[in-house]
Amino acid sequence: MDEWLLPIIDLNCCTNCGLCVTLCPTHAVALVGGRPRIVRPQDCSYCATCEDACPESAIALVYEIVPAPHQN
Amino acid sequence: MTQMDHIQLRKVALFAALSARTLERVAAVARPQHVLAETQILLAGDPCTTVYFVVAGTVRVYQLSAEGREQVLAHLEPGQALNLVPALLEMEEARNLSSVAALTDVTLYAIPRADFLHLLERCPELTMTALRHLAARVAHLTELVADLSLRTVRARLARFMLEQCSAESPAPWTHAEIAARIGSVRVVVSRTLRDFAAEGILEVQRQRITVADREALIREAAL
Repeated sequence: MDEWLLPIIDLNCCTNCGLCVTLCPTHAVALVGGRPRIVRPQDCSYCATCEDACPESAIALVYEIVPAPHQN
Repeated sequence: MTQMDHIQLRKVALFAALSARTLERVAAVARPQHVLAETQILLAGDPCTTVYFVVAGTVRVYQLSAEGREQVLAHLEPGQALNLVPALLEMEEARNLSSVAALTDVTLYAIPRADFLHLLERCPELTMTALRHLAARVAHLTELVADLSLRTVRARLARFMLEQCSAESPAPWTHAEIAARIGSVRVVVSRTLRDFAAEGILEVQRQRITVADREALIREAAL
């Protein structure tokens, strides 16, 4: 998982309430045409605030789970 | 059926050790199907008409509660069968026990239920292999029931993290998927992961959760 992933927004579930935009601490999310978009991907810190706040569970952050290097 | 179909069918655990003659009989009724990621393959409760065997990709086997909460029962990888149990039930009870969706693009081989039952009647070596397969499934489900009834969310999550660390190819997971897998909800998983991180057991970074203290996680999992 080397690529720089961003939170996944499921627009089918999203109700465009804008809570993710309001709460994003780095202002990486904005409403574009009334729909949430990550408009400043370089500013997204992957903090999961948007995922935790979304009332529709429409935002997901992906992780891989790995052992510490010395435990490999 | 082509030679490629025979090679693909050999990837299925149920068919891997069959004699060439028996595999030929299987191949005569098996049809390849290519399914795109996120496609629904089976719906729980629908009549079971077909047994499927995964030869490429991954499928998610799950059930939904009345509130729409998803409980993932298994991720099936190449070589595994799906819908085997309901196919063996009496006709009137033969309904899909779980829903199945493609997690990735998937290649399956499909055998109509009637053809599969006919094969089992005629091929004792296939029947014995199927019995061993079902015994392994019973053992897995027994473990799952024990997990859900006897372990806390914290212990189940610790166990899940340890299992993922041992996986040959780490899969990407969202908190919601982890919650579905361990029988919890997303907010509880998020909170418990934060607790583990605060205690130094895990390190949560962008896109990566690292098990920093494996011994502590083993104690949490009560293994």
